[in-house]
Amino acid sequence: MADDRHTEEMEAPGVFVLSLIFLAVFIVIWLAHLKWLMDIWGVQ
Amino acid sequence: MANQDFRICSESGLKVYKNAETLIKWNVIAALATLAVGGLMALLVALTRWPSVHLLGLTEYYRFLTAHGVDALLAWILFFEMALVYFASTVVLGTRFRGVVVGWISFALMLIGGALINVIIIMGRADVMFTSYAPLKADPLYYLGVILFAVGALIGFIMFFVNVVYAKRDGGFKRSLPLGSFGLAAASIIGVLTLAHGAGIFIPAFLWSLDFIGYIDPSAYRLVFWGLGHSSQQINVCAMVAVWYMTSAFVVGGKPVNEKLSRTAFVLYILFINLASEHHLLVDPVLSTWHKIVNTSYMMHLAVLASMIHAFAIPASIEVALRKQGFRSGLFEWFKKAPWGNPAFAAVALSILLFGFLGGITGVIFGTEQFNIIRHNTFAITGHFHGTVVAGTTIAFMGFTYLLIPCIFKRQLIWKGFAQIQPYLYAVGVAMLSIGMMSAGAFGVPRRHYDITFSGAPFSFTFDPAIDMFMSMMGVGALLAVAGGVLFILIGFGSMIWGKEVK
Amino acid sequence: MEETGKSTGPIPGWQKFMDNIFLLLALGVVIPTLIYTVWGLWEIMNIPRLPIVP
Repeated sequence: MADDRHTEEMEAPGVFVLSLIFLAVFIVIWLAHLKWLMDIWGVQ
Repeated sequence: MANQDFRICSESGLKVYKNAETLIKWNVIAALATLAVGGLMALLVALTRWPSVHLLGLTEYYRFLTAHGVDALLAWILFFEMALVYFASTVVLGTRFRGVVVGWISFALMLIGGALINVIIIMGRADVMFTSYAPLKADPLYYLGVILFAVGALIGFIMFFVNVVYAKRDGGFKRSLPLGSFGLAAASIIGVLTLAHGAGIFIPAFLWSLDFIGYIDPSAYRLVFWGLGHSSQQINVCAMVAVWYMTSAFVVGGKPVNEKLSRTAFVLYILFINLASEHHLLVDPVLSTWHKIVNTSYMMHLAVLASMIHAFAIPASIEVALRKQGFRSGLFEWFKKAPWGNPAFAAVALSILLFGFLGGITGVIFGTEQFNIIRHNTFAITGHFHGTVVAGTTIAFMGFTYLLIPCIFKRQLIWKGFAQIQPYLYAVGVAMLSIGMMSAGAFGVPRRHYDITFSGAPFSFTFDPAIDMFMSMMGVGALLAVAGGVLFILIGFGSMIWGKEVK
Repeated sequence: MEETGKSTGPIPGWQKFMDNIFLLLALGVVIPTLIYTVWGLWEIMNIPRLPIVP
């Protein structure tokens, strides 16, 4: 039962990889956006 | 047995009863008509906010902005949701519509209420924005129009439950509703909560406008209003997600990868998403920090967890379905070979992408107390909700219309080439609009503001020159989006009237 | 759209809960109304009034 689950193939590997890519892109954009906001607000 | 009249839809294999079909059709027609009006108002308002154009005069701007809010946010969406809940409780289950007369009463109330609201606004007797915050007082007929519309919609949601009960009895489903219908059940549940709050605020406001009540406390008004106002957006989220699942099922044969997870996510929406109404009140001094933090940080993130679940579950279901169809080579063959030329599929994909990145994430961010004080009443808020309601819900509903036209209207689409590009055109336009607004808002550009140059004011103020680029981005985005919207309306109505009949 | 999963055997409790849309309706109306609306109105009503100076 539990063993079967471990040997099964991942059903949606493409979406899994896409989600990792999006996570990475999101973190980059978020940090860049944060830096931009700090610049325009003059945060030291 | 009364009215056994049904046919089998050749596109989906679903059983379509005539009485359900007619009700769904007319709600879709009303939805597209109000979208057209709301879209026209959008064009006029956007061309006014674009400082280089500044089209309308002062009074017209606020007037048409009120109309835009009512038609684009309430009327288009709720008419389409009536079509969706009727579809999900009859056609999806293969049963007929029970209580047809009540369905038509609901439609009539919504039509009369909607028309009344629009007429009163255009007559200049309700320049109060769609929020109509006390102490701004509109003509009593405005509040009456809203009450009629809301009662009509409430009846529609109740008919969903009635039809589901009868469908179960008639063998339309055995134990569990199909997932799309379950999503629309979640929408209907939130709909009941929403419209109960609507009654709770618009009936006193109506009586106040007639001077039967002397005073309405503004903070209490805001609290209860947003119980109507934001909860109605959560109806849209549930309906949109249900459309995502149903489109995946109809277009590529997608099945949910984990029913339990997807359904639990809808239950999280039901229990917790309504509390995001609070984020409209974060800047109000009257509520305690506890009320604010519990209702935003704690509760809202449970609901956002649900969105995260759906955001990955649906693409996963599409991938599994396409892999079953044979697109198994490598990680992304399914993605490249997905039916991007099918406007319904494209619309749903764009809706998921834009709702997630533009609308949903900014909603969570702006809904925290620390961030909200900086963003409140800026154009960034407008950018957020155009990312959710327009880039998310509206695009998804447009996509689903492309499925309803052959299935319910029994017509093929006209201008198929244009239909293929329409979702992309609209999506690019709305994305630019939303990002332009949010960026301008970061510099403090206010929302609902006629003239940010403050010309004629006794003081002067200039924004950072960067905003010119963002406001132009908003303007250009608006033009593209309106072009996409016009195309949708023409293809929609054109197909209904002149499309080749589907046997 | 057909129902997925035609397994036999006892229905899990969580599935029974989710199948009961009227229970979900009750919870979905009561819980947000209490935590958001009722609590909020209670707070607003308990704001001390300013004394009116004649």
